[in-house]
Amino acid sequence: MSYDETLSLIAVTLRVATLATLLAAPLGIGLGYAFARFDFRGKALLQALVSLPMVLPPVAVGLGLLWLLGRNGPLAPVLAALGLELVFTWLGAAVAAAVVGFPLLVRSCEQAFAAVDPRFEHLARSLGHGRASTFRRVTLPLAQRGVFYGALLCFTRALGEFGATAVVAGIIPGRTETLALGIWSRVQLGQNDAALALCAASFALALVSMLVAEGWLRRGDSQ
Amino acid sequence: MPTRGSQGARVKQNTQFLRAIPRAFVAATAAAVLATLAPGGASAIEAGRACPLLIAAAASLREPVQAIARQHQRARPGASVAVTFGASSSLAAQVRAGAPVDVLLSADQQIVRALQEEGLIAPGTAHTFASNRIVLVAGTEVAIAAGQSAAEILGSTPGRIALPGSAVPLGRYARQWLAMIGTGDDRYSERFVVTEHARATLAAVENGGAALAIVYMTDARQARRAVVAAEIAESDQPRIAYSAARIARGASEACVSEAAGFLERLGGTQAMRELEDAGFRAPPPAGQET
Repeated sequence: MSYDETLSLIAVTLRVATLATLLAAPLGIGLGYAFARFDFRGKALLQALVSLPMVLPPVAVGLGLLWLLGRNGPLAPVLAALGLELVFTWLGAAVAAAVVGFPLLVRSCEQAFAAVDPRFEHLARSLGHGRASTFRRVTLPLAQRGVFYGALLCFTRALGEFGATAVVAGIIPGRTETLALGIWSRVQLGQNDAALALCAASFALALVSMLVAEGWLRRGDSQ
Repeated sequence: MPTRGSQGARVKQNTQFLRAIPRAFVAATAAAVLATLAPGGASAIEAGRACPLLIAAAASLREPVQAIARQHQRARPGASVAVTFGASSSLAAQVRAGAPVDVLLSADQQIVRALQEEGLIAPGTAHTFASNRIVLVAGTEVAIAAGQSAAEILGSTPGRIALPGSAVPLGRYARQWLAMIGTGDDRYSERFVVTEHARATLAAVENGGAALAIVYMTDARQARRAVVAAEIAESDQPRIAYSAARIARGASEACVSEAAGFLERLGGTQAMRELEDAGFRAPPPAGQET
């Protein structure tokens, strides 16, 4: 297994995980806030639906997405109009990883926002801030640890995602083959040494991600 | 330690951190967008750019097709060629699900014919290009009494037998042979280790997961921890015909011509030599489809 191959696998893995987190973040943070602050009809059902990707086998999630995003699925005309090909591309892998990591992000954000004393928000509103301004300047900063950890959980989940991405994006070297998929296909080929080397790379990548995250958080905290 | 104003200080540094977030977010989004536009990344943007050619090939074709793809890449510097390997049946399933595959190299004709009936094969492009043989292999640690035929070894040697599922071409070929020697699925089915594709079948024996395996001769030649336990007579061999075709998926002009170019290369002398070196043979004469 060449140096180039390993780099390509790491690049694809990082690309997929980053985009997945960016895709999941806006809706995830929004839903987390909604769950923490509001009570509404169907809230329990919505919370259950959001938790589904965490509870279902990832392959099942992948199959659902394959149908949804595929050429015979309900979204096919929309995707065709936008010129987007998701199935068996790294974009599709990112979408699959985003769906799988979404519940982790939402739950973490929900807990973080629930821990913010609403009185700070009321105070900001009474001082003339609009909803968006209050959220940006008061709520989000106070909840930043939890939100950040939610994003980190989503990212690291996406780093290791296998079942859903395998079904939605296949294993195309250089395009959709992530570290996890690479390990699997090499085991299937009997290339155990290469598979172990990729395991080591996975471990290193996950470790570096966690250390960078811890470092960033600590810098924002001290002084 | 001054406590007055510490609350204010914390809120102050929170907003400092927060002001950093939009910048970091923008930077990350920009990086993701740039990554999208990097070569090989934006599969969505096909029109007007070189075609990101995707070949889906049977697992047993790994080495020769990788070599042919490299030759194609070298002969056409602007091109981007990716090859994905797997069981021909799984590759066909991916094609049906909308995978942007341009060329399919299947280990049988049946799979290509089925796709043809669904209108997924470009008319006139399906053709056979190689053949193979199946053989019985055993792990190097497995004790085999000498001078036995393949059928005898199956009966006399204990342990599990690896072969792919019946949807996979090799799985069908193996079961055809078992039926031909009169054993069929039933007698040994309890000992089967069902694997994902041809190479995984060999890997099962090399890893010690199975004692015996029915694999292609071309894969057996590569084995390091397995040996050919017995050859299978020509008269008992199933008719194996590898089939190539261009997938009809409404691809761009660039992709259509690129795919046609690759298929042409596959029929050329250099490609034939790669296949022969790996142990593949000429396709069988037209006859009953496999």
